[in-house]
Amino acid sequence: MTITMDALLPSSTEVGRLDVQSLTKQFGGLTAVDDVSLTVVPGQVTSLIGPNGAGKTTLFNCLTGVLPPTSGRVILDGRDITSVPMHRRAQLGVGRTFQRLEVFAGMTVENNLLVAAESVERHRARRGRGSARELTEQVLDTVGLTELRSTVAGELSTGTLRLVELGRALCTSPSVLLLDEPGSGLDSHESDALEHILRGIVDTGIGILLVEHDVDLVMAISETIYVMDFGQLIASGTPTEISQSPEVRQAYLGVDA
Amino acid sequence: MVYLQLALAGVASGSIAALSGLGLVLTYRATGVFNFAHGAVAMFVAYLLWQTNIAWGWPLVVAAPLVLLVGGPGIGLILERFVFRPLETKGASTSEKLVATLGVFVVLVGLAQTIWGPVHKSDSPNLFPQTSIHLTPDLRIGANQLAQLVIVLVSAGALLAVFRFTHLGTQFRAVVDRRQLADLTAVNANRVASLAWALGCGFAGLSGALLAPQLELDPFRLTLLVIDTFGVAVVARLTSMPLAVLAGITLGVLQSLSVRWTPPAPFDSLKPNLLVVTLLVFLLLYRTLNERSSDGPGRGLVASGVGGDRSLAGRLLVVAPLAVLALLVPVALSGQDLSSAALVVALAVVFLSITAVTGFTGNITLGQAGFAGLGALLTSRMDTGQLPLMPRLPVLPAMIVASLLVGLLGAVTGYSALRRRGLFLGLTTLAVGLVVYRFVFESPYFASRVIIDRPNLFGVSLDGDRAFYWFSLVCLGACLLIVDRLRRGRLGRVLAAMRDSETGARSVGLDLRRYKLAIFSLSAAIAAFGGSLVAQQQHAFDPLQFDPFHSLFWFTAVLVAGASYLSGTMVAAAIFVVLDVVLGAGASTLVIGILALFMSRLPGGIVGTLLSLRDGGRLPAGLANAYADARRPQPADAPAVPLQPSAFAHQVLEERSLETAGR
Repeated sequence: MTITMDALLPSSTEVGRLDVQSLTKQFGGLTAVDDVSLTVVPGQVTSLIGPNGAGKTTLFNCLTGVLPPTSGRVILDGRDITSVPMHRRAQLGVGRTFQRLEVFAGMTVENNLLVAAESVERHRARRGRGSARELTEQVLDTVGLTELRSTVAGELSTGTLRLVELGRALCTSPSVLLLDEPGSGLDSHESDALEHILRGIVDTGIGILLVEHDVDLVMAISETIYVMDFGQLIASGTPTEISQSPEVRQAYLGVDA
Repeated sequence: MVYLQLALAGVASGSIAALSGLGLVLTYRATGVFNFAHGAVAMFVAYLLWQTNIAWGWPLVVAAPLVLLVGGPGIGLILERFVFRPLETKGASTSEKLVATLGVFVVLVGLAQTIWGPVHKSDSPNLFPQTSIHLTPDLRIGANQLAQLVIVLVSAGALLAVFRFTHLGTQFRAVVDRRQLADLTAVNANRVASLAWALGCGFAGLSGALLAPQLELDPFRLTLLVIDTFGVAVVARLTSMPLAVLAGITLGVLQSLSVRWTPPAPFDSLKPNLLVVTLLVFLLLYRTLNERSSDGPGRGLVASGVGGDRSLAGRLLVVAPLAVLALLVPVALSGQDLSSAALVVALAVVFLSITAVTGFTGNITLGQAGFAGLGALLTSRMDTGQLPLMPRLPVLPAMIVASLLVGLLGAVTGYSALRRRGLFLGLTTLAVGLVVYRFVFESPYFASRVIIDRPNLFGVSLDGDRAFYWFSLVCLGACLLIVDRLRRGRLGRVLAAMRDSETGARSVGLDLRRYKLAIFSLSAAIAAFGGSLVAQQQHAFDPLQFDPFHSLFWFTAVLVAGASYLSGTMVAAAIFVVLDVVLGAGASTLVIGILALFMSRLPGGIVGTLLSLRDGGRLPAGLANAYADARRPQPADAPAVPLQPSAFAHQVLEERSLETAGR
């Protein structure tokens, strides 16, 4: 698989640094996310892991504009996007995928990507990077879906659809990508392909925030890992630091390590 | 004292509304299905009581318990077992279930029309004696009114007690929260759903039987009266039973007291239509009305992706025969038949407005008859120069201006669609249609004896049936071109994306508000244009042709015919007109209703099914199933993976082998 990532290079003004500052989300009396701060660095994979119910999905939803946070701020390249609606975030350069797939099932793979490329064409300067169709071509190649371009998305497997969503997000020329469990439902071959693609994406300077259960994948490609439990960050660091952290082992295994 | 007396009467009449609302809320809470057929069930049970007690002469003490305690709940049980349980098992979307309730509605109305005919029955039996009881020397209450109140309070009290304090209540709540989980924990979800349907339809039947003596029984009026009580359920957010009872009684009292109020003329219709206004106002007022589903809005209704992407040859295969047929009609037919053919064409224009919204964007619209009727009314008013602030216009320009005006109203409806989807959007559009019908079409001020002329183009009169047919056909062609544009190119992709996943569409930067407003506005304009044609075909504006029933019938007919196909509009119109001409009034209703019940076996409707047969069995159903698979919960709930690399690998491998085995 050849990877052509040039089309994805963010423009110089859009670096794609995402800062989460003291973000808290409460549902009634329950604090699902408790004072979490983290940074997604351009050109790196930053991962968020934690046991079920740790608040990862809630945090993710606050970052993508699905839920309004109770307090705290989300900053993209110095701009406060905490209360910016979802479609506007996409226009500003926040791309995302869904754990529960939200593909356009009745459309072809190509049209899934094309509609995304077209929707941001007017909003984001993609100077010298060609039309929406050209971008779509390149992304199809990047995620390895060129051969399936004319297939109706609803006929594809979950694993392939995760790639369709990834490609669709790439077509919005994001400066930062938020990926919600892109590895779930993938077979080992697809998972390797995903790792390869993600490496290619960060090499272009796009920052990735990865929420993922496949810890092999997380350990392999992350520069920084944040660990959440009971709504709070309990550890952060490099993969090596994290795998040796007693707090993390406690949270995951429920025993003193 | 007068006020007290009025309030007391209001409590009694409000208790019927409360009873009906209670049934709706109960079914919705336990099954997630809002029963659009509630009013039709009420009407049908009222007819059953009439049939047994009056026609067959059974004594009331036998007939009433049999019909109300066995008949009504029995209908509920049948519906659950044969219509809604299969849908639940199949994992049908909310929209599919909504269409099934519409199917039940249409079938029951059609049955009533067929069995009992169009003649009103004015001798529905009273369940309770018509004597009155003196509470104080000045204050009286009818025995029947007292009985109604007692029935409501006892049922509500019993239900609440069951919900709060018994094991069954706990099961109910478990099923409500998560049906699949409840299944796993050995709660018999089917039994709970059966019970909910039986009780819901039982209450519907009871309210029907109580209302029937107050008016002449026909398939429509009683049904509509019960549809008004949707307002009670909406005030209760479809979930709170105490609130439903309170809202029903409060509205009854207010309505009763309003007799003493003499509003200025235009507001006169407000008094009898308090419930309808409440329905619309609360639908617009409540900021959050969470639907118990996160489906894509149109899933299951439309065979997505099959309609738009067909090759030119494939399209010609559908278009050519229809075009030939349309061109042959004026040669082959004459007289009344030609007139009917023109009605088919005019209706097809109206139906295009449903295809544009539902077929192409997946949004439900149940108020199209209101827009169509307004189009007809405004055209006529402008043609005769009776519309304030507007000059007198010839028919064709009047039609266009009327469409533009109604398009603005459509934008208002679309505005509510920005926040609502699925069921609540359906209810909102229904409410708009109801309000338009009650306040405009039924008002002598706006709509008495409205004559509407056929157009005159460049000195050529199109008054003759043949000429008018051609005119309608040209109009249909123009509208087809406009709507066809909606599924092509960039705009087509945006609308298809919105139909498949609104969340996905937003996530790639699409601002759906603009598109929704535009599409609802365009749809209303087309409906108005078509409505004007329909009225011209009949030479007059007939309010009954644009009542809320027609909104529901039309929507169901278009879905049954195939909402994602332009040709579906013509098939639907043909079914509607031809069956009634050939088999008599009510036949089309029955056929459409029965087909709607089996929509889950007719993916893409009649046209979609035919096309897929021709394509060698590449059923859109396969597509829908693949989609459903893709949307099934992913292993988010998979166990947390321990952190030692060797253990990770092990666990991941295990998970994967499980998944592979599951495929």
